[in-house]
Amino acid sequence: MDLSEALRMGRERAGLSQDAAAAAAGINRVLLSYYETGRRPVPLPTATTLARLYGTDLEHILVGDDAEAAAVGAGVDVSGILYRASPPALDDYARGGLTIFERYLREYVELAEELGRPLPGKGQSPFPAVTGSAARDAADAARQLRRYLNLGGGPLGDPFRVADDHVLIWRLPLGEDLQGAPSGFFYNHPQVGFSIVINSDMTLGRQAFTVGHEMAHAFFHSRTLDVIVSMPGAEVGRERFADAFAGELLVPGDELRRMVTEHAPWNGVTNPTTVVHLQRHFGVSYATLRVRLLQEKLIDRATFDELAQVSPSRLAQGLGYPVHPADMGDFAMHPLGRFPSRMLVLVRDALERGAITPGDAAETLGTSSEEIRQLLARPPIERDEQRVQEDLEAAAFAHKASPGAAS
Amino acid sequence: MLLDATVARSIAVLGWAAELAKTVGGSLYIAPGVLSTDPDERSELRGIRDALQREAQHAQPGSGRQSKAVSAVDRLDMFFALGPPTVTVLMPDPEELAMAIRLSSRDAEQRNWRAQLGLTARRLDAGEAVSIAIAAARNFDFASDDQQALIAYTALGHRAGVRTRDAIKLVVARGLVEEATARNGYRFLQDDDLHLLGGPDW
Repeated sequence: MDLSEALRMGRERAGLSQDAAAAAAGINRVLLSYYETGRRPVPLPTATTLARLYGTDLEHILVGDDAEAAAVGAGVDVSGILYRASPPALDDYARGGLTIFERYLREYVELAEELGRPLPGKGQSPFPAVTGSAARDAADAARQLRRYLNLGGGPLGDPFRVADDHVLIWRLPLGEDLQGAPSGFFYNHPQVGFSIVINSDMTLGRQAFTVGHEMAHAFFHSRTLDVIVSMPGAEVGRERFADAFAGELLVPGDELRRMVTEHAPWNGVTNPTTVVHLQRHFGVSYATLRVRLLQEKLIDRATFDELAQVSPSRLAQGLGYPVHPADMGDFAMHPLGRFPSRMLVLVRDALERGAITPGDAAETLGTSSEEIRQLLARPPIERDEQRVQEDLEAAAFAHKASPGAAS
Repeated sequence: MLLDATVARSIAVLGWAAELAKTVGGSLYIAPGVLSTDPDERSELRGIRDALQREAQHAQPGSGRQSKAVSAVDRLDMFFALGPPTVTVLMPDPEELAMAIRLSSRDAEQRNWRAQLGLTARRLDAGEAVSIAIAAARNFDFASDDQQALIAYTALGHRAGVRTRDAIKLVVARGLVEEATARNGYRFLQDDDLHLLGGPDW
């Protein structure tokens, strides 16, 4: 079969529109149309990317062999499962994102098998399933999870890293228009277990909140459901539960009350400046913090509305806080930042063992060989940085050796 | 001579593409997908350029790393602007395409065939595969810094490939670049923490 025709048929079999496939492959839609109609020859690397996106390989797509395609990699129709669990409103761009996720999962399984690493199988939550949506139950569940994961009662620091220790967390572009795009989704994969995807086309605060939300699905809904696609504003009990859970997980009520009590004598909690400080303390969005203050009855509705009249990003800048580009609408991120750390460890190990080539690694991660060079690098320390490290080491050793510390 | 992405990057960053082209008969050949003539089209070299651009944006302003990244981006842009005949993108014919697919296939049978060629890695990436398929079929010299790609080329093309170091030595032998300059340039690529070429010493 002609490659152009094969790619068109492969896309159609995968149930993707040209828009969705082009967005997921990172190419222009018009160009994809040219490739499929033979008006322009398709370069082999692009053809390979497209074939893998369609859940198959070039040699199989060229003979129209779906049975063989299903045997490639994980052998699970992840995007089909996710489509079926998604609301009809899911737009093309988001569908493309689901397909990228399927592709990366397949690569993960294949790499683990290549290296002889055991896969954990389907995830098992240590907690009983929750069926209700009561905010109090959600808060209790969040506290249980914090205890189970030894997270203490304070801010999580980096929720992405915290989640990454326990689930496979991916940050993929699913679309900015949350009418048609999910904020994230949860999938309990039969071979790799709990996997969550965060829509990276959202502000950083919203992404952090979604981490908490999807953790609720993983730990409290996975006994009854293998896949949950989270559409913002969905009036479903488990979604309301997951929202309340995320609020308590990221901004524990006790710690919030303690912080407000501490700040109150200096600067009332009705002051947006205080809210920005608290928001930064917990690493959440200004909106999340306002909601948590209202939920914990630390502000009234009028104050809640009044606080919404301030630009949190400009206020934060004025207070000397860095503002993340995603909070200003720039959702570009480092290509390797999209992957769970376990995936990068697998790629690195495979490279070091010579099981894959750098080009194969780049193709696997959908990035350039430049990022692969840096992934393997052991950059030598520069003089200025070394001096700082030595100062810090000296301070740490002096502290350990001090009489106070010894006693 | 047909260059893969690793050698094309090195030669472009050093700014010696025209010299190397003169040395090897006027043209450096590159496979489609490794380089694209249309900026809208994805290619490995454009991906490398974008990654270096990102490095330039995120490195400490005024630092050596930023300056090296900016310079590398400029050099790659100059390389892209060279065009034919100095830099020519070659389309594979159907047989070459079939060979490239064999070299990059996930299929167990093809993997066994590649193991018989001497490859230990599971497969080659598509860019490397199509480069080797074209070079071997058309009796071109092939330049790569990927050991597995060089093994595949030797098995299929029945001659050894060349690395960045060897390509630079050819330019020196032709008298187009001073040996001391060439050695410094190569060492820079080998040891620098942005370029990280590694590879054999001169």
